[in-house]
Amino acid sequence: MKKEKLQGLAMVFPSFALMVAVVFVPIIEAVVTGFRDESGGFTLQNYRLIFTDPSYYKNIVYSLSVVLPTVGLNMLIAYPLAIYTTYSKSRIARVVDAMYATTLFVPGIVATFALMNVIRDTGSVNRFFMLFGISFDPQLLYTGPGLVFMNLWFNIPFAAMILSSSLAGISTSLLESARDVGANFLEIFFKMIWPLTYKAALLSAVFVFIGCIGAFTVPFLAGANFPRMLGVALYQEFSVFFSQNMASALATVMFLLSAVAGGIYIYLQMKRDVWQNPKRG
Amino acid sequence: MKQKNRLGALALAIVLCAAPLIGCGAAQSDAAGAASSSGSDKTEENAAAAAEPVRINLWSYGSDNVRIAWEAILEGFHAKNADIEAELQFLPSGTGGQTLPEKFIAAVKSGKENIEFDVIEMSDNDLVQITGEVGYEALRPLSEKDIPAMAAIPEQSQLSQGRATVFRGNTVLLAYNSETVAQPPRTYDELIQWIKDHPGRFAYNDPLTGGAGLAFLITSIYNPLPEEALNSSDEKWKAEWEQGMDLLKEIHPYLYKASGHVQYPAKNQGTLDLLAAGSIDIAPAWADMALDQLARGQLPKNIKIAQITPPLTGGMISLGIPAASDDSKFEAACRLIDYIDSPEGQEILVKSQKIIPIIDSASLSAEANELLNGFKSDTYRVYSIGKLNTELQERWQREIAILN
Repeated sequence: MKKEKLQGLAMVFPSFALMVAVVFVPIIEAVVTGFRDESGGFTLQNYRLIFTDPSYYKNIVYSLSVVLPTVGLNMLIAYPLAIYTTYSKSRIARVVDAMYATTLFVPGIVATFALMNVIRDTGSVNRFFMLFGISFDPQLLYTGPGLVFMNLWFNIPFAAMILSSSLAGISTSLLESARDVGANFLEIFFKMIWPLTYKAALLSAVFVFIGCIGAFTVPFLAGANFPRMLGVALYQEFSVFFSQNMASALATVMFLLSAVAGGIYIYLQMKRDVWQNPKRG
Repeated sequence: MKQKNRLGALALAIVLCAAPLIGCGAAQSDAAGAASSSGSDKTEENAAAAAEPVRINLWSYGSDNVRIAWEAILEGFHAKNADIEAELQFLPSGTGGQTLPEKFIAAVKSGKENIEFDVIEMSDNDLVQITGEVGYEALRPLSEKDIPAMAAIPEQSQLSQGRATVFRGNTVLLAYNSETVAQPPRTYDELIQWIKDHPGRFAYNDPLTGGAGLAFLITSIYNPLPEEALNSSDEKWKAEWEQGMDLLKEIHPYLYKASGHVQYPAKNQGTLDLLAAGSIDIAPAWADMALDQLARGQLPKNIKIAQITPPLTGGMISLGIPAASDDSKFEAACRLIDYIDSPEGQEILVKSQKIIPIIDSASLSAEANELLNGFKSDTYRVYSIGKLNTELQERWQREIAILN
């Protein structure tokens, strides 16, 4: 028994050591650096600035105002998409199923420029309406809603994929029998599909949140000059203003925001459902 | 016994896992050496006639177009100088790690006699950094005696003090749409007036993301100040930034708008894209970028370039020969620089990189002159304001970007 334990530990040791060296140590170092001033002394000034100076806290508010709607809308769109492609047997459903995932294979920067050309005031949307003599300006590029739109483009396929694999685990006969006894779509969704897949839904929501809160390419190229999303603000602090301490403090704040999201997921994951954990006598 | 074997296997596993990590660092530092030896094998065959070619290393850095230009130069050089093997040691930008000046400074500080740096490329900022750390004595004095082509260069960088020679120039200037702008502004004041008269038709890129916008910011801030301020990192000049900042705030509402807000596009390319799309009529741009994209057709033919007075900032790039480079290589290094500064070398650089030549463009071919679009820059408005550069960018973010 003891030998087996040692063997197990030995097998995880290399990956664990690597993780400590390249993940945990840098994080701890960043947290410590965030509490230092330029001469190396302890200070709370960096954090004070982040939460009181409008040029910093507006970035946080702005980032959340882009990311939270992204997460919400993403769920609202990805769920029906996943349900449709998983359960519908029509040919269209199969085509949609094969197509939506292709966006995952487009390099991020290519997609960013393409989307910018779609939504800019002189872009494809505008040109399409011009065919009918209507001058329609989407007014999306360099705005928060524009960033939400682009984030959705990147994240819907990802969320739908996670949901699909979870949905595939529900047997169709179960759903059919529910329908046989007269359950309508909403009842089936809330009483069967949701309880069985909400963990996958939350998992994808958490990943989308973490991915968007630290995003760089999209907000750098298609975001406003102010406020900036946290990823861009962090890059500026570190690579343009060369203020390592401020950058570290900002990174810690971003890490905490992601940790809250991650924490919610872990809590739900640990909390077993009643039916999974029958009371023992 | 079994236990021992297992422990042995475990130790082996750990070593194997760690090996790539350790190997990585060594492999990287060897890469330059490996590259130079494999490259020289090839040219050795060509130069079989010569006894023993002198090998020199040319160090450069930057975007890929810079590397391509150097390779064209070395091809032309080797065709005429079979007795010299010049090897390009190139540090691509944006890959992190030590910069060329940092590498060079470290090599000089190591105190070795024969360092592998025989010719190095330096911007004015690099010159300040290098001479500040290891002094002017780290570079050999250069003169027309060793490099005859220097005689035809009208102006050297003030910062080199005879320890380097310029080989190309670059400057920010105005790129404009000649179909909508019949007569481009000739002075900075005329430009400001033009911006106010044509709301939404001018943009400068976010100065935190590219040098063209930064040059417009610096020019705007330093125009009202005495010229000496442009080459000083003295904190006292910060007090005099107000006038320029106020002007930038004043023109803010007249700049390019997207989705109803004034937007400073990201990167130098951002404003060029707007210009190409016809969304704006005038923008500050790097000369080499604009000329290169004109030649490739990425910018339409109706885009022209012009400089204003006082000019937008720019600078010259120099080449130097380190004092710690081996004496036996000095002559070969001089011949390489002589070739780069000659009309032939300048012609190659104009064609491949659209540099601004440092010699009279009359000595270049008509084809090269056409690529330059009639542009001549005999005076560069060099600036080196050190740490103030960063502080100025920070102020822009806090006071101008926030105006939306």
